[in-house]
Amino acid sequence: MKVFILTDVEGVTGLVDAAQLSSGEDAYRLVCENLMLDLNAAIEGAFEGGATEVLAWDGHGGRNKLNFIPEMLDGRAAAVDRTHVECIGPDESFQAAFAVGYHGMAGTLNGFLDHTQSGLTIFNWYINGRRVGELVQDALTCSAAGVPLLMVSGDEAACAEARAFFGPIQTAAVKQGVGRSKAIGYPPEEARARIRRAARQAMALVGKVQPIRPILPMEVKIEYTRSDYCDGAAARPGVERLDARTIRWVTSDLRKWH
Amino acid sequence: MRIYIHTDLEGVSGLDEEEQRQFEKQDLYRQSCEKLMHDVNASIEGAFEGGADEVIVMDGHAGIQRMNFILEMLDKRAEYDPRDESRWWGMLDETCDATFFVGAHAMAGTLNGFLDHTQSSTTIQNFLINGRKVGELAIWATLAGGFGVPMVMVSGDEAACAEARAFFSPIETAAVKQGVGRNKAIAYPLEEARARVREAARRSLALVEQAKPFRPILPIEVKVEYMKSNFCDEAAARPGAERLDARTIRMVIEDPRDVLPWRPFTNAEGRA
Repeated sequence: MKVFILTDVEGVTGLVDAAQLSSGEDAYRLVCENLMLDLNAAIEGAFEGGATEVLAWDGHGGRNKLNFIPEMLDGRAAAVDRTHVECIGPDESFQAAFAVGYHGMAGTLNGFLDHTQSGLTIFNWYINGRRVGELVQDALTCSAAGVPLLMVSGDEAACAEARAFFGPIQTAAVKQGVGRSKAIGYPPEEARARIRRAARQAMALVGKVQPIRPILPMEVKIEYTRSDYCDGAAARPGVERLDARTIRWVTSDLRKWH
Repeated sequence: MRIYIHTDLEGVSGLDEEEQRQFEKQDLYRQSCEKLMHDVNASIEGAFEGGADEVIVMDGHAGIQRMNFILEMLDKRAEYDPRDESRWWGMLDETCDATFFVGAHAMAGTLNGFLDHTQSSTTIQNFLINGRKVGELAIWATLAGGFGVPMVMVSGDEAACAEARAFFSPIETAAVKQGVGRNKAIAYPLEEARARVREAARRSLALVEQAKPFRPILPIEVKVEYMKSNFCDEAAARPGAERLDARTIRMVIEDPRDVLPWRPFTNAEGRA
């Protein structure tokens, strides 16, 4: 069984203050080490649950921002070489997708660093009228290859969001947000044990869970925080501008949610 | 007649690029302030032509620490109202007969509104009074309305003028430019733009008798939607603020002077 692991940074164990992301390289290096430990816990659980191959995707930040520390990655897993490839998600040979280190969508109360793609420019993102976050967006990319999302780790808000959109799904909460910029972190050993257990149990869902599939064609709608961010996006072909800050398009391609 | 002129910077004649309002770009910013003074003086001139006896002007852009007015350029007949943190309405009170808003921009979310925003371009998504989305024009008018003072004249970009006409009637408006997207505008020739400001000011004095103060039904429900939940985390801690969701607070106020939920309460005990 092949598992594709999507990763983000905000929902990683031990990251409990927004300032850790802006306090210089050493502080950020620690966050990345925590990311690797969470990722390895998920990989461990996947293999315990019967995985034969694991491929991990370093999903945080732009293409030029690398968060993975390759020498820390569990030797049984491989990472997508991000400097060369855009994330197109898993291909049809995979049976499961996991999301490690995720955060709640923009507008989530007590969601640690809640946002959808950009904390600065995006106010809300909708698929077929339902507000979604990055969990659903990345799951759609996996759905395009027929791969279901079976496991999520992150803060309590991300896990609650996962349970609201996907069922059944295994979740591992590693912290509780307190407002947007702080969180109460659970003890790291306990948090990683949760990730490992959720990953292992998720493997039992393989073959029993369908990938999420919105009714197609799907309507994608983005509300920006300011009209100038929308001025640029509205110029794209096929995009309709609904008002100063809102664009919409319709697509039958599950990967075209962005 | 006593006229109180409130001012802002974004809607001034000749400002047509976003960077012209960046305080850090000193020379450019200074030029914007000079342009502001020309519009302010044009409105003062018009007010006196229309029959004003007294004109008071407030430098309304950005925080009180920031001085945008160039006082030596100000028409000597007008009185300058220095701002004070505890009274954001300055000397505006019941003795004024009408208020102008010079250099205005449209509310956040206005298509082709040059530098559209409501109070903050980085934190506020929407500001609603009694369920209606409003901008700084209606916020100022609500405050003035509390003193029984009507808004009779607005200058700014086309979007600000359209917004003024949607909220206030009768009103004289002077459009000085047309926004092209958010960060650029086509500015009308300066002479013409300033003549419009002066003309609108002059004509608006004739509206003073018939214009009605802008008075939302009391108590006023103020709802602020923030762009991000952390901005709301802070605002929600204010006494009397109810948090509706991660990014929205709601307050019910009796005194229009409390319309901005981050200003000190007029009533020291706060409001429930």
